[in-house]
Amino acid sequence: MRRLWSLPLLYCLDSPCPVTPRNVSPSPPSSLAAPPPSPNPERWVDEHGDCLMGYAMLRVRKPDIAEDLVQDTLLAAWCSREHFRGQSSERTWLVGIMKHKIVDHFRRLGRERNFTDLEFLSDECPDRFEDNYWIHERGPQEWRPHAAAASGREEFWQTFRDCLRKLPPRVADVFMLREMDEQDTPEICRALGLTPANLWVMLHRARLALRQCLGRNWFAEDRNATP
Amino acid sequence: MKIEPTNWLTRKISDFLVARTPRCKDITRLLSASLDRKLSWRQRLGIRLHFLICVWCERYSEHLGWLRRWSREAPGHAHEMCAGQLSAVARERLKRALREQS
Repeated sequence: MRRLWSLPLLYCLDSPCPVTPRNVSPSPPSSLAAPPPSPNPERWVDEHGDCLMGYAMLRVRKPDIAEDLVQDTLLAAWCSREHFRGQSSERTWLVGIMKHKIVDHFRRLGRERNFTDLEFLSDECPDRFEDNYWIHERGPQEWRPHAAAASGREEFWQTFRDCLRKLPPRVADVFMLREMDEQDTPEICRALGLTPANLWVMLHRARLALRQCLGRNWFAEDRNATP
Repeated sequence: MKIEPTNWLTRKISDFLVARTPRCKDITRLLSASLDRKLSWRQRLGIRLHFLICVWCERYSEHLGWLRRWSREAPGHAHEMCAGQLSAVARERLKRALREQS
């Protein structure tokens, strides 16, 4: 049922954590360390901690909560280390576990938060439409052929992140649960206590705003369009 | 294919489509909805016909496809987006917690 977010938990139940941890001794300086990568949460902290923290910060915006998420993720990873088969990179595997932890987090938190983004939601890019039709010079411009190459560029992902950060927090949470964690809409409604209509409005506004932000900041839409 | 109102017939067709298909703002709503639920055949037809006269909505649809693709790829690009670097203190705190709990 709760296929996605309960997965790490099930793994843990599968293979209970050992009482005595391996590798408790402090790890040698990283310049000397070239051992075959065996599962070791402390090495994970060194090698993947920044990335996991970066992703968690993007999602929850609060350092203490992000750190908790990193810890939960690494613990769950430690518990399910036998299930890591090495088909994907270790980092991909860890980020995958973190996605479940993030969904868990929003499930716990969902009902406690207020709906504060009314202003954003009441405004539907009025400067782009006239009489409900696109103003031609200000409407979406052609993104090809640059769109296909964008994901290979590091700066693109920074632009992408910055655009996500401009969304109101609640709207960003909804968008990322839907599009990054690929949760279905009933699941998000349940987790955050939203009505479907509410959710669709938030997703629609998030997409409008993100498209506009990327258009402006990556594809130079307005520069080409306005005289 | 786009219907350009260049002569009497195409102008009539174009006017008809403008009058009978949803307006751009509604099309953007429908296009977003189509990513989250199945639209009725009537709504899908409305979008298709609207595309015949509106390149902007067609591009918008394409852009939503890109947004979805990039969002799904984004977790894999976490290292390019690393903003909240783990502080040394946090790093140690994490290691200690993991030692105690694992």
